[in-house]
Amino acid sequence: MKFLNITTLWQKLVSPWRPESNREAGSGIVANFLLHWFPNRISVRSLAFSASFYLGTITFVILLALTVTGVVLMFLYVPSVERAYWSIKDLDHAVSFGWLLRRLHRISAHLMVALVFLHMFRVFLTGSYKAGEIVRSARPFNWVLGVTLLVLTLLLSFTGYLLPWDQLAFWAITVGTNIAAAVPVVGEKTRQFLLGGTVIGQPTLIRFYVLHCALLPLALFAVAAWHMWRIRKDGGLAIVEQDRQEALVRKPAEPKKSKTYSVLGIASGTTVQVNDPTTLNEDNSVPSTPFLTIRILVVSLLTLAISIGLSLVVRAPLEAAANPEVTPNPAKAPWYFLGLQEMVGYSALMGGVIIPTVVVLGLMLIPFLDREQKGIGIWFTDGPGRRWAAFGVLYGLVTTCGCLAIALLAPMRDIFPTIESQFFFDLVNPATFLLLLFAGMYFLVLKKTSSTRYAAIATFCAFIVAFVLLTYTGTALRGPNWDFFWPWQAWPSHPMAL
Amino acid sequence: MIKKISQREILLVLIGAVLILAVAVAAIVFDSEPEWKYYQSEFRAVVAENIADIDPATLPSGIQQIWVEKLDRVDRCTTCHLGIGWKGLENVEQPWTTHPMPEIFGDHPIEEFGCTVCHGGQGFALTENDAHGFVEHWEEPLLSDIAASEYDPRKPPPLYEIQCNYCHRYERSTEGMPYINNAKEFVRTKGCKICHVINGDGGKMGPNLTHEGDKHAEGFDFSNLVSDQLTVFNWHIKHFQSPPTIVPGSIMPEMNFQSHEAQALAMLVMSWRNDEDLPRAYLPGVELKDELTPEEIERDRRIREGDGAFFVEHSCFVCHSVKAYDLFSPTDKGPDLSLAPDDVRARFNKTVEEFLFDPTGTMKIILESQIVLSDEEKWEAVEKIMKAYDIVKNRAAEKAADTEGGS
Repeated sequence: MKFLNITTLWQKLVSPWRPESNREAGSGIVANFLLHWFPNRISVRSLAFSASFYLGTITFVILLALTVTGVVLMFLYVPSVERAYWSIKDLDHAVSFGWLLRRLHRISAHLMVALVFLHMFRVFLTGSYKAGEIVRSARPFNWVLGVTLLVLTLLLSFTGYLLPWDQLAFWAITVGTNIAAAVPVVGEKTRQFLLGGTVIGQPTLIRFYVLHCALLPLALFAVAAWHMWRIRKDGGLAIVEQDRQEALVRKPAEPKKSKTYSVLGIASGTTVQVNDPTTLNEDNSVPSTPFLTIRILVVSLLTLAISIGLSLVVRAPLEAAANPEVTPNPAKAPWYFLGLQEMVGYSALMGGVIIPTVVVLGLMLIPFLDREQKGIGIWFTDGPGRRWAAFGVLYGLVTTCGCLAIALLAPMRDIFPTIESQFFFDLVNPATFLLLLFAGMYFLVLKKTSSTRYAAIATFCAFIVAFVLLTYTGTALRGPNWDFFWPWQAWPSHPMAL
Repeated sequence: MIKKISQREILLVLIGAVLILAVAVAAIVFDSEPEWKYYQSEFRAVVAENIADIDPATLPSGIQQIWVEKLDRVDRCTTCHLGIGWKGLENVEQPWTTHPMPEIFGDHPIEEFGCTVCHGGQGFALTENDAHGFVEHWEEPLLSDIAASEYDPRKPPPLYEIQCNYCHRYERSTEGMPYINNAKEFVRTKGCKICHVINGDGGKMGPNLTHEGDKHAEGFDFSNLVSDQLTVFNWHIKHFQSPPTIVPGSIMPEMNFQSHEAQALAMLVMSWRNDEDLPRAYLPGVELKDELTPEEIERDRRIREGDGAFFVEHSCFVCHSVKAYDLFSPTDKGPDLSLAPDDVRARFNKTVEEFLFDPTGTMKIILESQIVLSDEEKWEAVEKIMKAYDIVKNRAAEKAADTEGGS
């Protein structure tokens, strides 16, 4: 008897589930709680790797990995200024698999920030924030949810940055919150609210800890669930619009006999004649189980394997214990803020306040500014779109390098040595130039093509290039005293005690 | 019929599963074979070879740690350095050897001091590299000869003396600290305190050096130090040898120090760290006493010398004054012992010696439980009391004679 049980168990484990009919495949979705938010059938187009690169799925898997490692870390971490640093030392040296937990959590956090950006780039460049003409979906709203998720992810990463309580953490948060303090009128108050005082201390640590471990994750999960539910409600990935277009021109199929509606008691009799559902049919779609589920399995496995594999080789740094008396040189914010920090070097008001506000507002407003409905789900919309994207990349490259060159070779204060007003330099500096150049390009392309989509593509591509270049400069090319160093130039060596 | 999943997809799942398995196995292997396990297994062999009557099963195993709460230190050094407190492993190589100075544990029990407070290094860590602390972002590396030979390969300065003097800084000289003792002698003879505040007093010409050892590397200007070694220690050495070379415009005089003398001084100034958080019990030479006026100190000294000292030593003076010896009881509960012969006779009808060897009343309880004297001590007490009695009698006689002569 016992032997028999083992045999059945083994059979269940090894025999693949292969549905013999669409009905069986569909009930595979309905019968499983975890799968029931998947659609019954999925468009072959949206299953294609190139449609999304599965960036949203990967981000979600990484989020799960962060949640699991984060909860375990909460058992081992002590959020007090006396103990925090040493509890991390214990994790690194004495706790079984503590090193893996910390490295995996850290690398996943960086990956998640990067993936959220990449996912946003993909959604923009495929025009997936558009409502579509056939069924007016709420994708524009879902884009706004996505930008909210981006901000929440950055806040989560930023609050987590402080927790190890080492020099890196302490000074990155110092620099980061000082950027917030550059906001006129309310800046200093905002900074005090974040820190729970005028300097980073125990009140700051406990604030960041609660935000990082409770409030922000709850908010992130709530908005993420909404974000994914909306995808389902909007009919799947935006490329489904192409299926809808084709279904419109397709000759309607012969009506079929169906019993579907009889249960509702709408029609008399036991059968009604209905048209085949318009969008998805046997040719352009497959059952979600197993076609979608197996993809998600593959993506999850590979994501986890790669992030654990990276954790094996990439050490999580831990600098000296936080010391308010000793400022490391250079003191840098977390990497995703270094583009901003680079511009703060030109003007705190422009780089720290105006540009981030313009960027976040601009991102949120994209779907409401660009309402053209062609080429939804297709990379760069069409041929001219690709050319404008290439133009945007080139334009971004030239203008950003130009502004960096001005900042390095001809600082404004050298050009206008007689002017003392800080307000003048807040208005006239390379960051302002870049903002104006990009805004100018948007309107020029718009005028030339009369297409908001092409103008948006060109500007967005230029923005990506500027973001990458500025972040790279702030991260890799800025050394002690925020001096510029080429990658092949060594930084001055760091003195030690002994 | 419906579409079947392609073989390619299933292959991808397999690849993903195998990859997960591979990284998981790698992580488990990485975690389960730390260096210290090797050192512990070797230690069994070392003990078996050198010490006959030890059952290897009783040897410590697993992570060892010394937690010194008062010093806020956790040292896991003894996880590998298992033989530190053992006898008989003197000739064994590191990390299993006996401590080269086992006598140091007499005044510095390992459970109250740990290891890193003297040796430096990263007590939390469990791999050689991390624990010895020659890693980025660890500011207290192991003060070994290897580190010291960077400065003087022929005669490495004993850097650990820096750590010794963290506690021993107020001592004039300390056994086993030749470099620091030498440097302290310089501080006294070369007049450092004319210009600098050191340990709380001195002149104001130069900077206060009381917490010089806490100054971080970032706080030094290395621009005039021509050397491969950009270290605070090297800065101090070169600065002691020629102050104006390192700090242009400095008026600190050049004293022509030899290199080992400059090293000793550099070690001394680096040991001057803020000790506010150090429990007082760890600071030898610091008196934990109430402040006294010079008169009180003089009186204290006097009553501990001469014939009255006996009554202080044996706590008699808690209740009894011995006025003949200028000894005044703070409580004055009992009669003056100088008059004891008369007093005992009057109250108990005994001589002093009879009463001491066979007391009654309160004194019976006290001499049996609180102040237990040997027979010799009792005889000594009798002798001193009789002497005091004589002094009082003589004084009275003199006084009477004076009065008589005067009238």
